[in-house]
Amino acid sequence: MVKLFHISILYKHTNNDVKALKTASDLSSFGFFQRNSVAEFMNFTCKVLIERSDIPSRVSVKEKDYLCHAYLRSDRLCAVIISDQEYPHRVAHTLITKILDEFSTAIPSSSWLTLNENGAPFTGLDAYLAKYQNPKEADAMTKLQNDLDETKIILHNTITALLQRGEKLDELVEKSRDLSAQSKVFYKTARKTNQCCHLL
Amino acid sequence: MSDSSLAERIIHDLTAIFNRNPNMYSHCEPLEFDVIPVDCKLQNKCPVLVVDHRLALESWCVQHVFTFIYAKIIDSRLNRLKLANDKLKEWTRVILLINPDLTLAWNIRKELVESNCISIAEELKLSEVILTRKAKSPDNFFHRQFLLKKLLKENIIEENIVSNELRVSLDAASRYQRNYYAWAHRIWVLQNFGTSLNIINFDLNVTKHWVESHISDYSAFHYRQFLYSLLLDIISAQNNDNLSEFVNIMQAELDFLNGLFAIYPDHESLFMHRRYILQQMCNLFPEQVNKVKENEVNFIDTSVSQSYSNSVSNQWQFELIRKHTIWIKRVLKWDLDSE
Repeated sequence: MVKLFHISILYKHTNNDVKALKTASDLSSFGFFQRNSVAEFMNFTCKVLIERSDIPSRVSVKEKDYLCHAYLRSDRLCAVIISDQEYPHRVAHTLITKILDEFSTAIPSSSWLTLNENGAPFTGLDAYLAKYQNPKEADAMTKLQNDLDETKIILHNTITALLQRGEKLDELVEKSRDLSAQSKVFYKTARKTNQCCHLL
Repeated sequence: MSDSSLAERIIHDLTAIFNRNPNMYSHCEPLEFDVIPVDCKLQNKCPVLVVDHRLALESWCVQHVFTFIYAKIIDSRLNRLKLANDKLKEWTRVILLINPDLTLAWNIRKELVESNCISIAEELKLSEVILTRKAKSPDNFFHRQFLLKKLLKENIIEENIVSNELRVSLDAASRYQRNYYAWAHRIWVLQNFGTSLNIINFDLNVTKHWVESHISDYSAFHYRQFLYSLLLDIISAQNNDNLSEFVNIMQAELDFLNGLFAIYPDHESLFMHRRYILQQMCNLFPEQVNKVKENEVNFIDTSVSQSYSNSVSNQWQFELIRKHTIWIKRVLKWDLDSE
């Protein structure tokens, strides 16, 4: 599948706390009863990823069937795209750049610090998520693509590779306040059975 | 509560949901089935959930229900007990929702269909619900084929049967990556229910969009190849073996594929499909081989130079091109080195 699941724009505070400014998800390909948990896990993953990456940097993380692409700008504004394995990397990274450019012109940087969680008055994300399901749309962005230096993207093969020494993903999930009890059970079951799990 | 009375209650609840509306084409049927993982600690409520016409069981009860029904069914088979058809129908339905790979249960349902205890429409609907959780179960597709053959034999062929099967198999394909069984079923449907130019063109269009967003689904590419073989038969029958129309169609497919290569240079499925097209062109139109060859040499040259400039995936892409040239030399017997 070539699929974009999730786009989020986040702000990384100087004390390393991460706040989501705006998110959009397309979960139509997941089972009805799993969608809530999947959405929670996507938000959780975005935060874990941004918390543990340096400013400024570009990161791509592979986790099972999913790819998370992140871009952290030096003004602490960050964005993450979660796609499946087949979605072209270049397009994802170019799209992130474009979205962040647009966001920072629409929303003044002075308000980033004080905005509520998911409260930015920015409406473009859902449209981007729908339009770029087909990467052919990216043809118009080829000029931008040439500016993208792919050698500077840091690649990780699992989420675990991002974690600091002594940290464990299981414990992060257990401790997280963003995940509901139901989602934590989903996570445990998926790990235990090691089936092709539907969660990150 | 003992295990067996618990299991019986759950089966009763599920049956009530399926019987709530006997009209199978209404939307009151469950649209989807799933099992929700739940910690064992929280079991004081009914494990059967219905939300927005979607049905789910909580995971803690699955084992109890499954072992209860399995023991009953095996017992009746071993001791040749005659069970009430209604009970068998309820039990096999629940056990198949949980585990659709249980061939015995499908066979019991086939017997029930043969003895007219279950209508074919009802059974097709159930199989569809089961596909929403396990989209890759071969037994389920064989069961559908059994039902469809029965419809064929009884000559009850409605226009919407084929379109319904096409819808169901595409839905199953979308629920599991590279779902071979779903595409094989689609081929079976076209082979058995006859095809028209309309259906072929319609499905070529549908799968064109499909492969654009499921780039490594070679089963879908293979299905397109099957459609082209049907199309070739029709064209050669109509035009007294004048195949020039088919040349253009193959050329269009190659152009479409080149567009995909530009975005996804490192997917083996695209190379495999390319080989099919090349082979068709060389076999059917030997007079055009030189032109095809020239284009292919160009394609390989640009791919190689692209794989050098593309830093991330170049090794695998290079390997795919190498395999492709080896295939060309072996199968098409082209001498590429002299170019």
